[in-house]
Amino acid sequence: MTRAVSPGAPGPVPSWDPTPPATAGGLSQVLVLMTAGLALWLATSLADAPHVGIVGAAVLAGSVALGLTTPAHRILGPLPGLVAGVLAVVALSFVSAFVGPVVGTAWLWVIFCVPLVLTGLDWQRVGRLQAVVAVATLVVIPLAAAERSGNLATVLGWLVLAAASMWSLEQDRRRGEARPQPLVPGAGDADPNAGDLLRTVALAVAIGVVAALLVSVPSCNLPFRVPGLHGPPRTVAVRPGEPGRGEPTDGSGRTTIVDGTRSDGSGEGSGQAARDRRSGPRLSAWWLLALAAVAALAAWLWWRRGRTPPGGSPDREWALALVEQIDAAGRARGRPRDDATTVRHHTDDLAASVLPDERLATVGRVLDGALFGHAPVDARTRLWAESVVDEVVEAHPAPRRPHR
Amino acid sequence: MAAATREESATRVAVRMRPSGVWLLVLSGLALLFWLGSRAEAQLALAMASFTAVLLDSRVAQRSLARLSLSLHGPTDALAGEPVAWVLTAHGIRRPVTVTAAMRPQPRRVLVADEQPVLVGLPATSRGMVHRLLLDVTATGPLGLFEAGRRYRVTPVAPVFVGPPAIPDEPDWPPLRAVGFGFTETAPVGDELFRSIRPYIRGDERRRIHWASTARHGQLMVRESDGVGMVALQVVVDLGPAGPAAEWVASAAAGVAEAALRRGWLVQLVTLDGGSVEPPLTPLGSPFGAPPLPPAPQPVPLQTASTRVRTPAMVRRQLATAAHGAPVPPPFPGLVCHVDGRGVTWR
Repeated sequence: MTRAVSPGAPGPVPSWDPTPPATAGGLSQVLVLMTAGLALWLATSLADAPHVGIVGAAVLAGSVALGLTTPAHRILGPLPGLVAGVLAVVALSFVSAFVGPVVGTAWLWVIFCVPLVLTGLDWQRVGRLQAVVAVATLVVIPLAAAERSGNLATVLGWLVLAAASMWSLEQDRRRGEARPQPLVPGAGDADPNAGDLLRTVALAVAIGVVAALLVSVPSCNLPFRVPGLHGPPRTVAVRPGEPGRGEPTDGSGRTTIVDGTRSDGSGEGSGQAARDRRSGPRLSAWWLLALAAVAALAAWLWWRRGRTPPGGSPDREWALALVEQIDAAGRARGRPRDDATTVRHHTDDLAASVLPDERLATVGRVLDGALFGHAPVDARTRLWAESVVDEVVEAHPAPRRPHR
Repeated sequence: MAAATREESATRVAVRMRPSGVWLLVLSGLALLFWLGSRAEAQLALAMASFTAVLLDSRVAQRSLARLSLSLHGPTDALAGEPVAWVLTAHGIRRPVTVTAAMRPQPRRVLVADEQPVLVGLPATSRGMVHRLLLDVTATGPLGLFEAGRRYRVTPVAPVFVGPPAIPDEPDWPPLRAVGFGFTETAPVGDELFRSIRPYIRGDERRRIHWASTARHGQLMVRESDGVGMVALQVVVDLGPAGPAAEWVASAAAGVAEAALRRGWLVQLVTLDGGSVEPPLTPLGSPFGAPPLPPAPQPVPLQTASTRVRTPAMVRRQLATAAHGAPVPPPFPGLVCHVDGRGVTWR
C-alpha cells in the first residue's frame, strides 16, 4: 500500500549505490536459449549433422536449467560463462594434441559440449545474455551464405528471434532500475510497449528482404555499370515465348523485361539465366562499396549532428595556466621542468627543494586530476590552489643575480 | 507551501551507442563484407536488416526525448545536507526514461514510465539558495542498442532556501532578561515578571524563597511572579571565513534561535546578508559528460540584516543567505547572544 505524500515532506532518499546487474526474466532466458539453439542447429545442419546441433541445444538447455535451479553457477565465480566456455575450448584443444588420438571422436563431443555447459550455467544476467546473442549472430552470419532452400526465411526468422531476445532483455534491464515513489496511491507501472519492437523488426526485415530482392533477383537488377570498366552500356530486350533469349537493343538505356526473365544478350537461353541467378547479383561491387561509403558518411554526419559539441575544458585551461606559473617559478629558482617530468613529480621536487611547502605537492595532485582526471575541480579548490601557489612563491623569492 | 517550477532550457538530444549496439553494427558490417564475397541474398538481407534495426533503434531512442518536458514541484525551504523530495512530472513522454541529478558523483537514476507525477528524492545541497536544478534524462531504443540523453535546466518560480540544520542541543541559558507588558524592560529572574513578596505558605516551592526579604522580615518570604513574560533574544551570527567552521556556526545559531522560539521568546537574528543573487547561466554541456562547474560567485554589497524571526523557517531562510563576515548589530534591550567560530557567548 502506497501512501500519498506531499512535496517537501520526508520522502525517497537518493541513493549513490551502483545499479546492480539486471537479472534476466524467464521470457528472456527462453528467447535467448531459442536464439542460441537455432544458431547451433543452423551451424551443424550446414555440415550435414543436424543431430549434433540438436544434442548441443539440449545440452545447453540442460545446463541452463541446472544453473537456474541449483547454485552450480557459482562455480564460475565472477567469470562470465561465455568467457569460461571460450577458455575451455582453447584448453581442450591444447589437450587434444595429447589425448585426441587416443580417445577419438568422444573427445570432439567433449570439446563441443563443455563450452555449452559452462555458457548455460551463467544464464541469469542481462549483459551476459546479450553477449550470447552477439556471439550467436557471429555464428549465423557466415552460415547465411549457405545455398539451401528456405535459407532466407530461416535467417530472417532467426533475426526476428534475436531481436525479440534483445527487446526482452532490455525490458529486464529497465525493470532493474530504481522506481520513484508514486504520488497517487495505486499508480502502477506502465506495461512495456511492444509496438516499437514490432515496428522496428517489421521494417528491418522488410528492408532486408527488399535489399536482397533488389540485388539478387535478376529481374530486379539495376543496370549499374562503372563507366570504363565494362565497356559501353548495353541493355537487352526479352521477348515473350522465348525465355532467356533476347536481342541487344541500341543502347538507349531502355530495358524491356518480359516474363520476369532477363538475358544478357549473349544469345544463350534459360540455362545462362539460371547460372546468372546462382552467380549472384550483377550489381557491381564497386557501386556497392561506394554506396556503403556514402551511407557511412551520411550516418557519421547524422551521428555528429546529434551529439552536443564538446565544450571547452575550463579545468584544463585553468590547470595549464597554473602549471605554467609553477614552471616559471621553478625556472627562476634553477629547477625548470623537463618535458619528461610530470606535473606531479615537478611539484614534489619543488616542494622538496626550492619551494619547501607540502601544500605545493597537494596542488600538484589537484592539477594532475584537473588535467587528466574526469572529476571537475570546484571553484573553492581552484581558489585554494591559486592562493597556495601565490603564497609559496612569495614566501620563497628567487635568488637575485649578483651584481658584477 | 510548494513552489511550482517550469522547464527553462535543455540541451539537444545526444545519442550514444551501447556495447550491444556496437556489436550489432560491427556484425552487420561483417555480414555485408561476407556478402560481397559470397553474394548470398540471405547474408545481404541479414546485414541490411541488422543495419536497419540499429538505425531504427537509434531513431526511436532519440525521438523518446524530442518532445519531453519536465516540471518539478518542491518546497520553498530545505535543509543543507538533507535530500529534498520533489514531485516530478514528465510531459510528452513516449517511452520510459530515467532521471537523475546532474552532479558528481551521480546518484542512482530512477525510471519514470508515464506522465503520472512521481516523488523523487534529489540530493542534498550546501547552505545557500537553489536557483536552478540540472537533471539528466536518458532513454533507450526498443532493442537497447542506443541511449539518448538530454540535460534539462529547471528554474523554480521561487528560489529554494537551503538553511543550516539546527543543532538540537539545548543551550546553556544565562540569567534571562524579559521584555513585556510595557512597564519594564528587565525582569529580575528568568522569564517571569516579578509581582510581590508574600509570606511562605506550606507547599510553596523552596526555590521561590526570597532570602533577602526573609532576613528582613524574620520569617520565610516567597517571591510571586506574574506568569511568563516576553524574553527578548538577539542572536548575532559571525560566520567567519568560508569552510566547515562557518557551517557549524550557522547550525549553532539556528539551534539557539529555534530553541528560543520553542520557548516563545522574541528572537531577533542579526546576520551579514549576501542576498539572493541569481548566478549567471553556464553551458549545460553534454548529458553524458561531467556536469558544468558552478559559476564563480559574484561580488555583491553586503549589509547587516536584523530581522525578528517568528518561525524556524524564517531562521533558516535568513541563515541561508548569510554571508561570511561580522555584522554590525543594532542596540537591543534584551539578551544578546554572539555565535561565531569560538562558540556561543552571551552578553
